[in-house]
Amino acid sequence: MSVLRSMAQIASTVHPHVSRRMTVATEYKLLLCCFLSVISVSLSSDTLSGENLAATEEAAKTAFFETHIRPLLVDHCYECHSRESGESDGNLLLDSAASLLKGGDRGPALIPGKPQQSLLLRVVHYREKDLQMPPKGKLSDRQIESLRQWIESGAFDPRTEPANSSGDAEKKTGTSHLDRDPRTHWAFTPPVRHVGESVPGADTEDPIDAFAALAAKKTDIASNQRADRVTLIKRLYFDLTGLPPSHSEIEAFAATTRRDAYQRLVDSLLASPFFGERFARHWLDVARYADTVGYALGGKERRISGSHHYRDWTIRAFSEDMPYDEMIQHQLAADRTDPDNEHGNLEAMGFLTLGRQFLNPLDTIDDRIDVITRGLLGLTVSCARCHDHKFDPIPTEDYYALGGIIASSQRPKNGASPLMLVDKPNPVDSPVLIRGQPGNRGAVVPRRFLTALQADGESRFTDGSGRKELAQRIATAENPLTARVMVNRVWTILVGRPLVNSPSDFGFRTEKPAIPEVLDDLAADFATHWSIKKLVRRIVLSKIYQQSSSGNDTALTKDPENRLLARGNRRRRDFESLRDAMLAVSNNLDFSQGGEPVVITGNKPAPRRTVYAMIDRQNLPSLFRTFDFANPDAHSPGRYFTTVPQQALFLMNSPQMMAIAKATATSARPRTITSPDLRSQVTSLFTQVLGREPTVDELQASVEFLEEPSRVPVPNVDPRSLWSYGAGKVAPTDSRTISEFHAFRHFQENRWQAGPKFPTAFPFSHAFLGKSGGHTPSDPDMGTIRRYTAPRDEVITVSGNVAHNSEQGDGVVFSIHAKGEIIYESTQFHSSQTHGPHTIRLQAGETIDFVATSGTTSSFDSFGWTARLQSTSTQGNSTDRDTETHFSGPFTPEKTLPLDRLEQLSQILILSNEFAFVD
Amino acid sequence: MLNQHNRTRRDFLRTCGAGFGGLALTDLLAQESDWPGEVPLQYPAKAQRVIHLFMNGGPSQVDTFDPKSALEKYHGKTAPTKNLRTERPTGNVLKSPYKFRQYGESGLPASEIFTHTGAHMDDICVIRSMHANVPNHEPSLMLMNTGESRLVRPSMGSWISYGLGSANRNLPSFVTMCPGGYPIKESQNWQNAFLPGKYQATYIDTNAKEVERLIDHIENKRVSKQDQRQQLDLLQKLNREHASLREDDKRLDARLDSFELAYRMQSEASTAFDIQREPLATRRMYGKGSFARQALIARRLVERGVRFVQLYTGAGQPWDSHDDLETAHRGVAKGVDQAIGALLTDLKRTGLLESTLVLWGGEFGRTPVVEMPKKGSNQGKMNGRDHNHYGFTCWMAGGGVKGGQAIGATDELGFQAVENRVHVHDLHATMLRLLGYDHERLTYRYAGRDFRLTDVHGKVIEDIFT
Repeated sequence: MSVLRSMAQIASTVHPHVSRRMTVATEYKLLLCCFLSVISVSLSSDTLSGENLAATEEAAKTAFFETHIRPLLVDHCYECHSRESGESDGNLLLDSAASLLKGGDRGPALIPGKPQQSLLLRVVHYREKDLQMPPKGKLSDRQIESLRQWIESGAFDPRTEPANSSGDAEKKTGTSHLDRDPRTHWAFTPPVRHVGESVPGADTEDPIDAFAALAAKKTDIASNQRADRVTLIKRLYFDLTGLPPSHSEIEAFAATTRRDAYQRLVDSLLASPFFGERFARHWLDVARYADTVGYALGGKERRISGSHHYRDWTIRAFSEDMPYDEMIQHQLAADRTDPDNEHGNLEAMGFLTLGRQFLNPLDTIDDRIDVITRGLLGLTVSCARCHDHKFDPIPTEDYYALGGIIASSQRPKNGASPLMLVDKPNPVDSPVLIRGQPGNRGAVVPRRFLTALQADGESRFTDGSGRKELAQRIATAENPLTARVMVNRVWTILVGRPLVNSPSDFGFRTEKPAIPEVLDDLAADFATHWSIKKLVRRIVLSKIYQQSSSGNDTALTKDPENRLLARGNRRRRDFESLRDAMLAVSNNLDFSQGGEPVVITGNKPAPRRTVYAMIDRQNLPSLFRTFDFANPDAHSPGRYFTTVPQQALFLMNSPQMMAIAKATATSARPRTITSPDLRSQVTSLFTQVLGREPTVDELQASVEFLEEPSRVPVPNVDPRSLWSYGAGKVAPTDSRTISEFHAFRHFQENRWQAGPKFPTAFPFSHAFLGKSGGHTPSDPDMGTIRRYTAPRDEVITVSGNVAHNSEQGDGVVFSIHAKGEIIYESTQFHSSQTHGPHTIRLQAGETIDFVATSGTTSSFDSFGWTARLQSTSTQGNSTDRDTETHFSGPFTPEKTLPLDRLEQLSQILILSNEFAFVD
Repeated sequence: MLNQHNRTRRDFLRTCGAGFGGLALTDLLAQESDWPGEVPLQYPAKAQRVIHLFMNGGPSQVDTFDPKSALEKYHGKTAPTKNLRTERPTGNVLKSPYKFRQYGESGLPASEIFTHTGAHMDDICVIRSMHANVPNHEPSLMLMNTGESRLVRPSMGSWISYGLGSANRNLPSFVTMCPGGYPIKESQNWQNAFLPGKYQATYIDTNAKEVERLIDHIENKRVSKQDQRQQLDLLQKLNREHASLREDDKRLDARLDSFELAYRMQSEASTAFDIQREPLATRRMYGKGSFARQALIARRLVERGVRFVQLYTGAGQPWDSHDDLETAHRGVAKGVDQAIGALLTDLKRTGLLESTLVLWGGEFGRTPVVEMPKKGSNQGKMNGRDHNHYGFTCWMAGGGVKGGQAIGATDELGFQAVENRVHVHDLHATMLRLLGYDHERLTYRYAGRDFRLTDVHGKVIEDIFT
């Protein structure tokens, strides 16, 4: 039986997972292709400069391989024959030179120099019915020809075994990654401490510094010096509190001679309430925290009652340095650790219950499995919902073992906290849902821990739902992942780049850190005490942390990603810290803690710290998204840092920023109005915003900026302000002239009238003007006047509709007056008429009057009159002015005080890179 | 050039799993002349941009582009086959209140409520065999927009922005317009989900007429342009001094540039959204109302390089005619038909249609049988149709689509797609192919695996291509 044939058969039958697997394989392909293009380009430039013929020849062969062969193999073969895809159908791998020569069940895939005898070429020719590869379709003639040429010329193949497949990888060929002993992957072995190991050249106290120094030395990179004190205090404030230090704090720290000044600063910041707020917000990213359930059918309430209790619990836990193992236990099983909420720990269960509300309970279970496993363990267990995990030792049974735990938990009707879960009275195991489909039940799986992390002979969970046991199995030093994952998160927060590049995926494919001892030593140490503050303290006291972030050329070339930790990383302020810092320097920050969430997207800056912002996951305001806030719909491994013009637009133009700029300038402004000392104002602003005095150049440029005359913006016209309402005399002799315009002063029931009581006294009587009409005054010489005043030189085109409804009386006379002329006049009696368009050229300040008079009798004189004016400025911009849309009662015009120069300068300093980046 | 592209992509692939590491990449992107996407094309692109005319609420296929003579025959009688189960109880067959006409050389029919659109039938490919998963608005909207009914996934506009980027870095790459509020499911319809925030649509309420109300913070009422220019000049100076003390850091330059970009955007974006700049004749061609305004803005946006423009018929679910279908559908169609016809005319006139894919359709269609009256909703009425996900119609025009043809067919009554069935996933796969992507290879690594718009589904409709 030909193995290749059976392969073809398998591949051609409909395999439910083929597509998904394809996607993954494709990713590799993309990755590889990218690398290759870069390599081949650099190679060809080498070739140009090369003098050695042999080298040139090899380069040419490499180029041929990289251009024609490798992409082909990756595209068409790797899916079923490579270590990366985890597939080796027919025991054949095609991802290294050795594997090709060794071949699979049918022998070598090729014989260099002998294309006709090479199996590879036979199968791609598609001549033999049972020997056709790739199964999806024949390669193009050109591709086949390339393969032929390549084999003929010796099958040059630079590919070696993938780095992390050790010698016994070949032995494993043909077996699944599920059979691989998890302990052969670094992250599944318990971290160990490295204290006491001798490190040559170690001159530091913390072993992690020694390991980093050694690694840098090996690579011939000089580690950076300790940053200066000003940089360090700013860095520490940013990392530990998210706020900037004040000028005086910076000065004091820079000037102190105490040897332990740095330690003292660290300790005081760790003790400050801001530390808890800062770290809690990082944790809320992990916990996909939001204050709303998402979409709710039929306009139901979306706010999650008591959501903020979880946020506040998190802040308290970090502030009080609750041990991390305890934090985990509360978050998963506080119904058992604090059942009556005596210590307020029930709120911790928001970690599980604050996810999006899904219609399908299976999706809620999935959301909770995901937040637990990616969030706490760095494992992507959700991938195993429909099939065994593609790369990691997570069979689909594991997913449903956890699923059974979640499904056996429920929210009680009258619990001590709205966020809590309790065990169902009759917990049940869950069946595997084959391909994740509800109707497709497989074997029932006992509620238990993940296979890869189970101890030998470990039994199933038996205590209620099993949540408590699950919590215990996660929150233990014996779990190789828990401490590592958390240490990596904390490291990333403080140092700015992760040790493990995928902070929520520590699976088989994840490489160990460049200096594994750093992570392991920190993690093993952390697992002995679980104190976040101790961990933070240890990291920020390390030499690694305190290094300057300036790059030297060697380091940048040899280690552009700074994996060897030989320098600091410059950081950009995240959304919260940017916003909080702006509030702080404008003296707007309200330091109160906790409580209901606050909407922060209004026109005025809400003074609370950003951690207290209302997070509406359904319609997360664009402000959050623009500044790369974590997606609150699922656990977030880390923030993006994009640079888009919408960020700049907010910072340049938003009403919030205007208010912040104004407030910032207030403190720098002299109290008394004497001749202003611009230099001292500039200096004062710099110290306030940037925590330092300006340089000579900056001072001069800023003073010049302040001295420059400011041009006030042309205010936007509020179209409501263009209309006034009243009554006036229409001179009987010369009806073109309107005299005595009495503005109506009273606005009641949506209409303007002459007095507070209606009808008012003679001559106005029933006169009023409303949105779409009115009533004439009883004095026949008098008319109601709806007056439009031109805000600029413009051409107005008027068209409208007049109407008189009553069958009694003698109707109403309508006329439009402008520039001393009557533009339009008609009498309507139980009739209506459209009028216009009339074109009128107005200068700023000139008016158009829409006049209605009673005719000879003064009863039954209600009328309707609507008109649209199209205004075209001399520059050609046109705008609508509508009698109805822009009708309004008294209103307070929006205050738009322009920013003066000092305020503009404050804004600039807040917009500066110095403000946004932390060295 | 190629190298440049690949490096960007490699950086991206290297860092996207990490999330954090992505620092430099997106900043680098902002440096480029336009705003390139993150995934190189995998096929020659026939379309470079998409205008999606979303008929939210579910227009009835048998009253628009899929005429069924059998409805006359069975009108008022029990359908010859058992009614398929939809959201609500349904009854006898209900004929279309409208007359159909054949148009153009192709003779493709359109009903009397789509005469302006009908005039373009030779450019339109009608897909009559669409089907979705369930007869409810929420999941169906999600499916049409994100390829997934229940879970939170990026919308197709986000995917396309991620892949292609924007051809105009002064404008967002993905714009969604809806007059008077949100459709149901609100901004989830254009969410970026796990893709970076910049791939979410910029949402615009087109009931607002003033440009400054259309785009957040596009205008500053308190600082004049002249003063703002001087502010930015000083900012440049301070930032340069700051940078001069540090080694080369692309992120610093990128952020500095972003302010200049925003400054230019203030006028560019205002111009793009200001339809008053169109000649009167053009504005008249599109007609009155908010949809007309949207359609004209859409044309102005795509000609400026915006990749994906989505136009909702209106807030809520305007096409959802559970009763009084005759007047309701006629009314809604009246609000969109002229503008759609004008948009196609306009795109064709400017030559943009060749490279612009226009997609028309709802989240599902409606039943050919009448919906039974129900207390509290359509009480006392027997003149509407229920939701129908078994068979409905979408159409495409431009962007490499062969017009004047109908693809697939529903059954005798128009209840269920029976020939050449096209699932929503297939529609997505086809759209991506027109844009130059293999839907299986436009992927994003997140939470340990690669995601794509079509999940594990999708089959390209080969017959659709020119």
